[in-house]
Amino acid sequence: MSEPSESSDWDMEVDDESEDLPEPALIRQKSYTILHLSEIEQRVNEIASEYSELLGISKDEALILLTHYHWKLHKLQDSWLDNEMRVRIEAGILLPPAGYEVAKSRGKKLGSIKLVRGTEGCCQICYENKLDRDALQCGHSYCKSCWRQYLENLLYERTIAGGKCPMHSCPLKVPESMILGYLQGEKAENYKRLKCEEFINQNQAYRWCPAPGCSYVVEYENLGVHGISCKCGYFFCFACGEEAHRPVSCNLVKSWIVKNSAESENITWIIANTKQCPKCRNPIEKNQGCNHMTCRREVNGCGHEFCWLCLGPWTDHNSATGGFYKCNKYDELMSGTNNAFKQEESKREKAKTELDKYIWYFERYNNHHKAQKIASEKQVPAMEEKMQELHDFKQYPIGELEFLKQAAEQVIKCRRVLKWTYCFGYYLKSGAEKDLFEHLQEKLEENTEHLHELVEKPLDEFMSADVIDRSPFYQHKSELTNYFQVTKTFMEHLLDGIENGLTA
Amino acid sequence: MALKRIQKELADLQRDPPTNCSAGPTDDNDLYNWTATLIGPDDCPYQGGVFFLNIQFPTDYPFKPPKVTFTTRIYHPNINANGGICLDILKDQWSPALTISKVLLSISSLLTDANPNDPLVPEIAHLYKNDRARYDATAREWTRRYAA
Repeated sequence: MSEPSESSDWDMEVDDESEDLPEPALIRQKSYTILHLSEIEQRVNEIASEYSELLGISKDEALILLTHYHWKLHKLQDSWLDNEMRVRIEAGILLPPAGYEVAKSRGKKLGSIKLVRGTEGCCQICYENKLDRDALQCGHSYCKSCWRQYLENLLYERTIAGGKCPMHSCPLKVPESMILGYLQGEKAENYKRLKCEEFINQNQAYRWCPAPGCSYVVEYENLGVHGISCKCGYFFCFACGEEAHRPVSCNLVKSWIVKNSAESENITWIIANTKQCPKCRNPIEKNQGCNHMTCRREVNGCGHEFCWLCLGPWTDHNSATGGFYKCNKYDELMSGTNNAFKQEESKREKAKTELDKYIWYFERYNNHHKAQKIASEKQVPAMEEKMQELHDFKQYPIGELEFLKQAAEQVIKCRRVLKWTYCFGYYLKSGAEKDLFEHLQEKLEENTEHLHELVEKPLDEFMSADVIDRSPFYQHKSELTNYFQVTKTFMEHLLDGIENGLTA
Repeated sequence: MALKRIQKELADLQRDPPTNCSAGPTDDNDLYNWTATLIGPDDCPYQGGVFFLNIQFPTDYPFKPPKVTFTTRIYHPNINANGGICLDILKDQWSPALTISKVLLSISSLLTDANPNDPLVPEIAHLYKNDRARYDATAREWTRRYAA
């Protein structure tokens, strides 16, 4: 069986960063880096070394100054040039001399961190006479076991970055070399981790990946709405930390999320989670991604096929049967002639209250959200398995099967964008802009539904051993690839329309 | 570590007790649980009152602060009805180089100089700031009633 010669034309174009949606021109260049914690530590050490050289102080001192100035480098530089001694005293690397006044202190010879070892007397924590004691420049000396316990306690309380001499109101900070002299192994690692966390939390250019359990960090160059695709697979907005939400602004997302949590305790959730078959009233739970529902006969259903959103018969939706896809238009549905929908939603027809409107948008938002979740949690992994099987049993080259995974991933992208367009639509006032927006949304939604259905199609018919003819498979490939391109184009139109003005 | 240090502090307190304070184990078998007495300092409405406090040492003392509470009722903006004391050195400003002796002295000076700007009982702090005479009278009355 020969491969169709056009197959190369069918290969899908994939951007360099395949996770990314097409970016607006201004921030199209890659402007972030995903870093591992060890790389952050390296960066912290580099900056400390740099400032150690720049200011002519030890690396220990540089680290204390940088921590004190919350890693605001310009502020540290300015203050240092303004009054070096004051910076040293305020940051806790120098004891204020007796009768110290900031104004008089310019240009004086400066001391620095020094450890005093083996001083006479007793430890000021355990009150025992121990010769082997350490003290900072201040001379408050403690025995080694007390220092260790003190530092371990600071580590436990997560206050070790910026930890001071144990003496009450002594301003001197404990240098890192001393901390690492007392804490070893796992404790030293914990200290380093805390130091990095401090750095990340203080620094606006860094953000933890918000996915639970992920320990990657993003370094970002310019702020704004921007999706970050973490190595762990989570796709989030750097500016607000929520899931990536193009084309909607962070503020809108925030209001939407607040609204969702405020409404969550009322009927919204009941409506969002269950529906009855419009024909036989059997309760239906949606556990697949696309909107084409079948009331299954195996479980005492009636076999009716309907649309999950408008509850109309599915035959009205399929363009192949001459149907019409209009489930994304609020007004259309409310005033239309769709009987099933009318009956089901008659109470909503009576009063178009704010809540009704919200529920309407939320349902669609939630619908895409769930479909997106199912697609990313179940369908992509299932698709990978299928690809392996097709490769193993039917010897299709893996490269030729990539389109299956790409199509499944495209469904996720489309669902995510569509989801947020319902948040956008909820806040958008009626008018020409909204009409155009809904048109673009409808186009994308219609094609996404189709693509999703194709992605969910079982591939068993191509798998069986007695199938020799490969053309049905390539036909399937051609159809999927086509819808991949179509959804990609419509998604770009929709994003471009919303981000750069719909009617401009 | 904790026990040795508590014993040392106890010895120091008995040898050289600070003015107007005394402290020691409530029960000789449990060195982690102390009772302290504080005599209300002169020149404040608590003057002459005898206040009892309970001190509990954590097992990682002195790296963690002791828990100190009044068991005698007292009318004070930084001390609540349960005897809880709002004092920085008993919380985030604790240092392992501090001692019970220093803590008791700090509490004693808190009686003389309340800190109405960081109150534990806002109503008392309000009165302290706006009607000092009435505050003094109430504090004196409570001292007479509960701490005599």
